[in-house]
Amino acid sequence: MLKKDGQPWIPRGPRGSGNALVGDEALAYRRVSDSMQRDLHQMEKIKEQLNALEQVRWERPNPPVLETFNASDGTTWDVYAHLVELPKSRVLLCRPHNSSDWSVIQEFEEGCAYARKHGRTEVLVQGQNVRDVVMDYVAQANHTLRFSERNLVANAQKTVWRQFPEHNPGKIVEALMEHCDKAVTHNRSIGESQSEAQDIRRSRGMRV
Amino acid sequence: MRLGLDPFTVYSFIQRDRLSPILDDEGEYIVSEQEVAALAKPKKE
Repeated sequence: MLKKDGQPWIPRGPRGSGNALVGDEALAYRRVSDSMQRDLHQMEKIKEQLNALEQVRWERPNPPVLETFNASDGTTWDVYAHLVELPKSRVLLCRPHNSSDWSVIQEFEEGCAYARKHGRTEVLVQGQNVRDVVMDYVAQANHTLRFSERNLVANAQKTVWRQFPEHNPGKIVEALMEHCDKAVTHNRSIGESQSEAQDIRRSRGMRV
Repeated sequence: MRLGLDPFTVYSFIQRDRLSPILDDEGEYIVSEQEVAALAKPKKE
C-alpha cells in the first residue's frame, strides 16, 4: 500500500485530484475491497467479454458453423459463435438447422439441478437480424451486471458501517462505489456516466 | 442455493422473473429453499 507522511494512503480521482483515503480510512477500504475482489473480478471478466462482442462485425456472409447440438425438444442447433463463458454455463449464438432465424442460447452444465428440471439449453433472445439479436443480449447482460454490482456495493456498505463506523464510513463507501463502477462501466460519455453515478447513489440510499 | 447456476445467471433469472429473490442477512440476493426444491425436483414422466 502507498504511504504519505508515514500513513497508508490511497489516492482518488484523476491524478490523485480527489479526496484521498488516509490512515485508518485506507486500511478499512483495503480490507473491504479485498473481500469484494473475487466477485468483482468475475464481473470484470463478463464485462470484458461483452465489450468484445460490441466490436465484432456480425453481418458476415456465410459464417462457419462451429458445432452442432440437439436440444431436448428435438431441435438441431448450429452454433456460430461462443458469446460468453460463465463459470457454470456458456452463451452461444445459434440458428436452428436449415432456418434463417438467430437465437442466443444459454447452455447449462450437464446434471445441474436447474438443467435437470428445465433442460440444458434455454433461448434468451431470438430475431432475424444477427446484430440486433446479439446487441439485445449484450444490453440484457449489461443490465444484469449493474444489478449484481449494486448488490455487491450494498453488502460492502453494510460491512463498512458495521465494522468501521468511526473511520469516515461515507467516504470509504463512496470510494468502493467508484471502484465497482469502473469494473462494469464503459463506452459512455462523461456526462452520462456522472448522471448515472448520481442515480445509483440515490437508489443505493434505499438499500437494494 | 443449490441450482447449480453461477451467480450472474441467477441474477439474470431474477431480472427476468424466472426466480423470485429474497435477501439473506448480509443483504445478498438468494432464492428461497422452497423455490430451489421445486426447481430441482425432476420432471414426472
